[in-house]
Amino acid sequence: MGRKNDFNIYNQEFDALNKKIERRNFLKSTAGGMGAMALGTLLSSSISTKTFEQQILDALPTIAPKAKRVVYLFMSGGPSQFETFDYKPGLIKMQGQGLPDSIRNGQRLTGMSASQALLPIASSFANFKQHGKSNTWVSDLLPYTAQVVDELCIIKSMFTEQINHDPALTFFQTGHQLPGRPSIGSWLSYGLGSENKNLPAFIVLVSKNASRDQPLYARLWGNGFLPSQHQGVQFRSGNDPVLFLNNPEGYDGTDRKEMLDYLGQLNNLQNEVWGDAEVDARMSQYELAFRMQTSVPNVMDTSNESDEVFDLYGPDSREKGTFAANCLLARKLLEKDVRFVQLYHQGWDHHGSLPQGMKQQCKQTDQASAALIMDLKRRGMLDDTLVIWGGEFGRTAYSQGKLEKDNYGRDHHPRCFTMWMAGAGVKPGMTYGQTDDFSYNIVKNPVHVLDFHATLLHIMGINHEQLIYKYQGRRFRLTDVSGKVINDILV
Amino acid sequence: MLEFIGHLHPVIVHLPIGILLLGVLMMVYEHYSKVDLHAPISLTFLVGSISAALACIAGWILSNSGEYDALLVQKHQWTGISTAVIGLLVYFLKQYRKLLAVILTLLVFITGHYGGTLTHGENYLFNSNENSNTSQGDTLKKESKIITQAISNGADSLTIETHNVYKEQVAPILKLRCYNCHAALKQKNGLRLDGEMFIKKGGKNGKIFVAGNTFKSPLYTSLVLPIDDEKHMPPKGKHQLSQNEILIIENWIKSGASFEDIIDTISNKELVKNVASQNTIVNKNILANPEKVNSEITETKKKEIENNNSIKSSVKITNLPNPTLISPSIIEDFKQKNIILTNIAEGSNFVMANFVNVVPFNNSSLQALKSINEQLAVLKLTNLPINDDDLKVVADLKNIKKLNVENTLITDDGMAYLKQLPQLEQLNLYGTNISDEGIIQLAYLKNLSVLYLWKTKVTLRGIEAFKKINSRVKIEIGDFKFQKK
Repeated sequence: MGRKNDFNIYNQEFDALNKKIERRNFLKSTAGGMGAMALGTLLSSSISTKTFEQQILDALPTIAPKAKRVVYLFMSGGPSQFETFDYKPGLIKMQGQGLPDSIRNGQRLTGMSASQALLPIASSFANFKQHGKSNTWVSDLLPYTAQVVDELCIIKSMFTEQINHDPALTFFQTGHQLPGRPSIGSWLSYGLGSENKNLPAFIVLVSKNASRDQPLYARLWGNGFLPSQHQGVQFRSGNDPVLFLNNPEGYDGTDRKEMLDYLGQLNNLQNEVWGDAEVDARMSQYELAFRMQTSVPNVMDTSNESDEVFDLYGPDSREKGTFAANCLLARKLLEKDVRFVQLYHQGWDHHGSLPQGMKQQCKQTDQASAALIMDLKRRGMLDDTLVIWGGEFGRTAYSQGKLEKDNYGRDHHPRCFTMWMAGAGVKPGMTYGQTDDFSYNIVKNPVHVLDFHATLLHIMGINHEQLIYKYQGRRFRLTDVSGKVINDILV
Repeated sequence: MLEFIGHLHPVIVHLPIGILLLGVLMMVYEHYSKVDLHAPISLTFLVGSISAALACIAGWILSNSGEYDALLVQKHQWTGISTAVIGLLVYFLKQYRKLLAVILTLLVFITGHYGGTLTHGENYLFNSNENSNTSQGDTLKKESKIITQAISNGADSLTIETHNVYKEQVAPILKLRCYNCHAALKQKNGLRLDGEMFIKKGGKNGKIFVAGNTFKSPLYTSLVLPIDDEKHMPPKGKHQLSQNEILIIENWIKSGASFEDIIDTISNKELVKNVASQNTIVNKNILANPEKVNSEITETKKKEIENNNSIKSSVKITNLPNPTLISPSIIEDFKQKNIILTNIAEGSNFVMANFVNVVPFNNSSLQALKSINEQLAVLKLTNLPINDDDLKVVADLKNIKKLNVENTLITDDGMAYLKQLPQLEQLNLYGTNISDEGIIQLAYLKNLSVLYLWKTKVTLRGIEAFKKINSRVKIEIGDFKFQKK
């Protein structure tokens, strides 16, 4: 019996290969560079068989997209909600007292403060005022954000399940605490594709002026099991924004083109035989990289920006690689219709010397974040661009280590933290969710990380339950098996 | 407690069925094998009859809940009681045992059948799964049936379409998934769904829907509760509704849960043509792939979402009829020209054209848009050397809702073309040489809602004049400045 099967070409492997070829032809026969879903929509009439094509159709947006682009300002390290948006004046008179057990309610602590005999409550050193027509409380560490608060949709009731940086970050960026899943930008690239064929759909910018207290890994913008062309591409400051993009010294551009053409032919031969999606990915990446040799220096060049623009983003913006310069660059990339721009700014992990640290972090990020919103707005881009600001978790109401009058630290806190969104699809001037008097537990409208993912996809016109990728025998989603769209914050 | 005993009925009934039939089988066996089984046979009939009596009691309590068709219950009740009585007679009247056993066997089967009908509905016995699938297919096909009447009246023609969402879409789903327990035969929780009157009346716990509010409508909420929830319908283990079917119910309630016919009238020759051609496409799609049938419904859902939007929303899904689909050859053509076409939303054939990859720009690529002027709703010409002459082409693209011409070379003269775009809602003119004279021409565009004017020559006085004519438009002049801290 086994012998016989060996000679039967209609076996599983053959079937799988067949599917790959079908899929490749399908993708090839459509608009180049566009994502699976964008392709599917235009082709829906010509498709009649229920195969891979059908799967793509099933993943089509079921809702009209509000946003075409996203810029995600990731505040890596876990910014304290107490010194930014979550105003808890009640803590002042409890300063130094132990955190009540009824509030902690069994919450596990990190090894850094678990052995503390007392968990002394630390009120915020920052002062708060109400700002804007929405009368939103904002700390005086964020004077610029306070001026654009009517554009923000602030969520005070975010929560996560992870208490340490890497799993929490990985969870936020990929929907799972273990490495290996595609990140948000990769999912969007896969689902919606790139409108600009000369730039990647998913670009990452990491601030160089941040104190790098916690590491970042390239896998945070990795494609996981999605085809490789969907991975985030990091743009660096300096002469070589994308590593290994420029031709080696003494190597002519026409030679390069010729080499790529021949390489393409060889790859095509391989592809005819094997139909491997990774060969497709490799070819599209080579081609994109070649086009990026001209498009990247172009878009990275900020010399044409007026002084008024630099003044808006703040003095840092003149120095390449800072958060402010990256915000300005992000705007330029979004203008070129890059789908997903992800900024990382490290240094928010204030276990000690929090007042000093927060002052510095806010100073580095406050003005540029606010400026980005207003710059997008006046260019008519805030209508279809979503801006997101937030970290991987919040911080504790109690001080880690010794509580002094002007010096304290806060440990990691997953049960509640604050983030904001602005622009396409979200209600401006809104505050959503509420924490208790200690900002330790959520009392109203909790928003899980996966709910945030579901909402983000919804704003991009994607039903999070339908954007799936089959891998190792099961279907994967960004929101895995949960996540619900937070309709209350949507316009 | 009584209720609990009632609920045991389905468990207990299987005892007499099994035991009594075992007795009969033992009699047959005794007859042929000539073994003396007299004592065990008697015992079997005694135990079987007692369990039948118990089943009768439990059944009687259950029937008092009033959730079942009274006539059918009565039949089941009397055959059931007869079974118990005859069972006892078989035990006592040994000389007539053979005759009585035959009657008993018949009674067991008849009673069982009535019971089955009560639980699973009529025709359950011969209604296989295959049948229910085809009937679902039928309903889906029916969904797309649109009664189209064309009345020719000289030059004008008029199309009347009648839909009845309840009859065409909702009722077939209820019939397929709910009637088993909520119709004439069985009225679980006092609820019937097999008619407008019953649906409006609701069940024991009151109304089952609030028109327009799905969250207050148990008819919808019970469908989407987690399957383990006690109130989830259909109960765990029964055939569940598909996503499409739930969507249909959801949309029906959201749109007001109407039982009436909705009549749409469309006049104007051209539109009729559009609608007609669109319908043929829809029908084709359905034949090829029934899963996509509810595109019509998602479309209404989208409209709802879009209508709730504030000024910030991107282009509304238009009220215009869905245009014909762009042919693949035209898509290929645009691809060659580096113009990206994307649908503005699923189910809509309107597209957005983005010129971000068009380098260098020349007028011929703009001319190409004429071939998709019916479908083009969003046009992005940002940062291109577009001049007023190029806008002449744009003036022919009548369905444009959103136009990006920021950072281009256009001037006031070009506005004469843009004011010919009746559908225009959002216009981005930032970074151009437009002045007060230019924008005032746009003030009469009745659909215009957002205008971007940063870095133009427009003055505050010009905006004031504009607002006097048209006060609905939100104008962004980019005058935001930080107060220095």
